[in-house]
Amino acid sequence: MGKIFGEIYCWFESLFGQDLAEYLWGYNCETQGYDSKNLFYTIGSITFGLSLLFVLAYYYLPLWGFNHPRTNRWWNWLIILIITGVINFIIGVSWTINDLLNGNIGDCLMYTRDADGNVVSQLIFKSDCWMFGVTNFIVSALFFIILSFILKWKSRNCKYSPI
Amino acid sequence: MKAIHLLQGFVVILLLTTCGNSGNKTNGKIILKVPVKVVAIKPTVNVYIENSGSMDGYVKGVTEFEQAIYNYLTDIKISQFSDSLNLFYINSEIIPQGSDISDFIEKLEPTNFKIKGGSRGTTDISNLLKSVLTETSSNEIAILVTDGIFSPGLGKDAEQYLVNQQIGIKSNMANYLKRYPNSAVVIYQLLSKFDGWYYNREDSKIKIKEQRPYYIWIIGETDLLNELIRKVPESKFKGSGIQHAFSIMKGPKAVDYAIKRGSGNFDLDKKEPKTTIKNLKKETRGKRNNVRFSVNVNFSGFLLSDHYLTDPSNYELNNKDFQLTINKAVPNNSGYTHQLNFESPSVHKGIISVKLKTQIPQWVEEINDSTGIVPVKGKTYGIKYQIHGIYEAFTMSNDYYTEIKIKID
Repeated sequence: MGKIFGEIYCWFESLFGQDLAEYLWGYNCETQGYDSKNLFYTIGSITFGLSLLFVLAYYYLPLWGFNHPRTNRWWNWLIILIITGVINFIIGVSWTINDLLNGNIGDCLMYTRDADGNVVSQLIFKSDCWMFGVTNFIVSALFFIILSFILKWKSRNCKYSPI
Repeated sequence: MKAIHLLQGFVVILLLTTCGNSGNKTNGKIILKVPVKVVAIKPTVNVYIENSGSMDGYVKGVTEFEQAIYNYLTDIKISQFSDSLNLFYINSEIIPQGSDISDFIEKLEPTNFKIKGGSRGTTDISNLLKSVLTETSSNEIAILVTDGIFSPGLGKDAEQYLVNQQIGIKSNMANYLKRYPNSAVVIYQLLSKFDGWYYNREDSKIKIKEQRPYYIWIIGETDLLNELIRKVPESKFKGSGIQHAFSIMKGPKAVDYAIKRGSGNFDLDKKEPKTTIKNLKKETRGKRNNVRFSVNVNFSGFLLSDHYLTDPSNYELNNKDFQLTINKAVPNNSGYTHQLNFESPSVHKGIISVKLKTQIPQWVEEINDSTGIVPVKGKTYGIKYQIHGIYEAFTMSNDYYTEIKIKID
């Protein structure tokens, strides 16, 4: 499952960079293998879970305005999609920035060094983390759209939303 | 009102999801550490100094020879590499000299060489080596100090003699390797003031006073030699210092290596990231328009100099389109010592194999005196036959130290 999530995220690898992608795949600089936690799996699972939760809520939860004749327009569906995306954007950004600032990302992924061990260039920046947040937004929206078309059919009030 | 409820719901979910900890988590296991005291048995070092007549010139007065030997043996002792250091003279027989280094060095004089006896007339290096190897067992290191000059004697076919010596050295070393397959040999060439008789291949004496080369052979298990060289490196040698070094051990030996991520335009295989490359493409950044990748390797298990390891001619690639360069690895915690850089004008798929070959360095040929009639400055009569004999014994089954294989998918 981690591999599937990773492949999906890596469609957008050019947004957040190969080095951050390697970290999220679980690359370990000490062992030079992918034996650390696969964060694509962890973050992807949360993103998928939240998308599923909001899709189910939109179509079937009889509370808080969900699954109601007054919220069965396409733009109601779109608002929920955007809210889900924003939450997942925040998760993506906060997770990666937190790891970046706490030094959880391995040295070989963070820097290029010369033969004396001096830093030649930095490879992962905060901007990459923000772009990973954007990616998580997009992935979240994809999950939301797919899940909507799979799950909407038995909704009493919203089965024709968005179309 | 409903909208407020809806908003509250979002806030609750938001709080639940953003409070997660992305840091490392313990799995709750408790590891009990039981202190274990490991007592390593230190190796024995046996030092053999050839005391044949041709060696007298190295010990007349105070010479670099004496300084270098004294300093080397002292360094071995104070580095606590060994608890037991035994000293011997060697010619046709082995003559024990105790273990007092300073006393031993003080008595290094031509008169003492003569008094100690043995057959000092000729030097049969093959037999000399045989004696040393017979006495060297597991957890022992033999250090042989010799001028390395063959003395076939008057009326003998010198060429035939040298070839026979080479075969004898090969045979003796091969027998030793059968008993101790993890052994290695290191040969240092040093220079010293020489004031005495030079014996040519026909045993004619020529009086000389000049700098002459001599050799220190170190024989023992590879790990022990590695430890010894780590504690007493080449740079610590006094006197004229080490002029050349030759080392050899049996291969092939597996080494730790890994493709260096970020060293080119490629992805690492997720299952075999150390050895497999995927999606290898030409570089698109900058002026480069070729395919490249690097491999980090740990060569620390070999007794090879940095000069040997960074020379591309000591490597054999199965794909001639790739150019290989070698440099020291960027400081790392994985123990990698060198970085092999591969570059090719086009993408190739399949296995790229690179072998670190067991080779005799060029300087062996350069310091070999092939005539043995008169002393040639900086050269030794027949030294290449000794080194070739050793080389052939070590390369009976294969002629490479290790092989590195990279798969390009």
